[in-house]
Amino acid sequence: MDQPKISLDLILANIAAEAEKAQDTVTKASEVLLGPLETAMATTPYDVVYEEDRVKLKHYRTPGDVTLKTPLLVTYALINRETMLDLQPDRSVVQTFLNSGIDLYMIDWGYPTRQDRFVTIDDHINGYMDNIVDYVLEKTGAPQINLMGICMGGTFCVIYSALHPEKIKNLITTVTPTNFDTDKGLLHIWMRAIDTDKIIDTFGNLPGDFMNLGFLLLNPARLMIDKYVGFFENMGSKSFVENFVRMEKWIFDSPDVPGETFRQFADDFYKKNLLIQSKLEIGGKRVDLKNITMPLLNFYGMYDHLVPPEACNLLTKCVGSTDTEDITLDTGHIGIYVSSKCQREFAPKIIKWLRERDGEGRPVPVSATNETVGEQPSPAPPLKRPARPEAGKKPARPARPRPTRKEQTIKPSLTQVIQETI
Amino acid sequence: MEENKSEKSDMDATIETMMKASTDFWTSMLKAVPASPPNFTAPDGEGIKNRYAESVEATLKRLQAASSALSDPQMADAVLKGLNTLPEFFLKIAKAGWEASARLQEKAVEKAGKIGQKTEAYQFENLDQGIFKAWREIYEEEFSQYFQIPQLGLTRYYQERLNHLLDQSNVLNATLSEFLYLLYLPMEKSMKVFQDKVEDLSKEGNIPDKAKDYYNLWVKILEGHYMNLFKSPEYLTSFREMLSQAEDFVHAKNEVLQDILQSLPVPTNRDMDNIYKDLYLLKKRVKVLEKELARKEKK
Repeated sequence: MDQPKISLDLILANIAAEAEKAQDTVTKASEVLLGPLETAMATTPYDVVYEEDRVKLKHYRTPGDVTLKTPLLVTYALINRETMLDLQPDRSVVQTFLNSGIDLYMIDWGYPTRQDRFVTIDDHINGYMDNIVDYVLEKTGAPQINLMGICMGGTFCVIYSALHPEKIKNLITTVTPTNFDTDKGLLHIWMRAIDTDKIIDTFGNLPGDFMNLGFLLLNPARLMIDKYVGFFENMGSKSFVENFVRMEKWIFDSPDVPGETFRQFADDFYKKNLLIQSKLEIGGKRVDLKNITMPLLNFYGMYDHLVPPEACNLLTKCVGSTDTEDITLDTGHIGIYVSSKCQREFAPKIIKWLRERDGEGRPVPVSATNETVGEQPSPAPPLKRPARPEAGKKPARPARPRPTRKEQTIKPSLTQVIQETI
Repeated sequence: MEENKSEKSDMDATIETMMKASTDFWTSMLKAVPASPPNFTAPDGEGIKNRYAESVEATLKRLQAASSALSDPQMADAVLKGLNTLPEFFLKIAKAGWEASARLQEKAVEKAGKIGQKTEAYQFENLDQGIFKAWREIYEEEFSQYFQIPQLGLTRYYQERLNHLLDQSNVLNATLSEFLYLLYLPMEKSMKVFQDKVEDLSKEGNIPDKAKDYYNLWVKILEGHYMNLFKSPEYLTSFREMLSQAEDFVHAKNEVLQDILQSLPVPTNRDMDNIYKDLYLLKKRVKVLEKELARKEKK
């Protein structure tokens, strides 16, 4: 038998050092865990300005003046909660938007109960979303709104924009699945394998815990073992523990998905892939992606295991708009919103893109410093909104700067690519 | 044939003796029951017999009568025939149990024989899940039928649903065991691959000196194994079966709960679902009407 070529003394010395380090971590950890911890999420102040059933509309308080004429409505998925965009003060997409002068609204889908089991996708899009959009238009007097969707919320936004294009000025989709005919993500394989009708007939709604278990099983080695090993290693760091707990709170804050909505999402989207083929019907109307003629900015993560790039990158090729842009970030599904690196790239890019398309034929000038990695874009001077056009009339769209179809793969730095493009 | 007859007459004689002994026993017991004290009077003052003593006496008399009836060879024969069917029933259950146990043991021995065989790392096709499949087959062939015996009487539907729940629970346990075994396999395989890797590194003299490096190596191997497992058709089949069985179990459980809740002043899921559906449709109609009205008012 071959003898290992490493001395036993060295191994023992390392074990001793590791033990000492572990003891030190445990001592610090007890101080951290027993002391006060700041783990509150979504602390940016907002007002609930509209309520319908379980659905609420949050309107965030802008710290300074509103500098973008068009308000932005963010639509989150029905899976997990929109609090992810405002996880902690220094990693908050919400705060970045507000600091740059965006008038920000966000839909809070609430916690569906058994009472909501019959609520369909049509009710969400042509009901709640449409009523909210009408409310924002009415309240702000803006002729159109900017719409931004996240994951399944992005899919809703795509459908909404195709059905009500006259109300949407610019569309931003982030990690949004639109092409479900791919085997790249395990979720796509599993969703096609399940008997949706049986699940819904049994549970009524799709239970949040059930979904969470499914997500954990996508990568048990990392999500059920390695993640917590990492936690034990860093328990001595207060900020690490606080961030970790915030993330845990967000991950397991998982509302149920209304039964009928899930049934249709699994059958028409995952199993039949109707949306990308413009064959989907919502509320008796066909969702034709060619109706999406407004500018479209499409973000997705290169290493997203839930919504792989293949599920996102066909959209810009199928819509009717000529002003489209694909941006690939070298991160996963959640990293786009919460990683420090993406915080410097993701939200500032959206702000810049919106500013360029906000004016009437003039992009709002953005100073060079705004594009510097790590700095928040400074707000432009306050603007007055134009009068809303007559009801039923499609507003004249302002001339857009540089209608182009772009594809970007940002690795390692998004900012460099943006600057080169400019 | 002759042997059978002699066996039968032996048994008859035994039963006859047993019945006679039983009659004698109950007769002597009856005699031994103390009479009521002479000066005892019931609280109502009518001097009737103690109710307790009366009840014991009646019971003993019934037992004595039954014993004497059974001591009649013809009667004993008739009773015996009836009783003979019961052991047969229990024997059948026991037999099924023994057979199942023997078949399981057989499979276990077969499996034990394969222990020395090499299992391929990162491979999850054609897994040896025979033991789980064997148990499920045995259960479905030999035991499940007992839960499906048609029920009789007033409570037949309730009993049927309870039996169905027990049956579904057993099938779920078997399916879940198979699924959990599949989830455990990457652990087993990754440990083996990890040991091989460490051995290779040690031969090369590149053995890591930090515990974290060993851990990182193992987690990476484990992750690879899980990814391969999750893409395998075996996992997908097992996952689908487990999910389907869990749903069947929940459905069966809800049916039983429904029966229990029915007797309580609590609305059941079915009741609530009916109301929710009506409410949903009503709300939808009201919203449409509201919009219509608002539009007309604007005009």
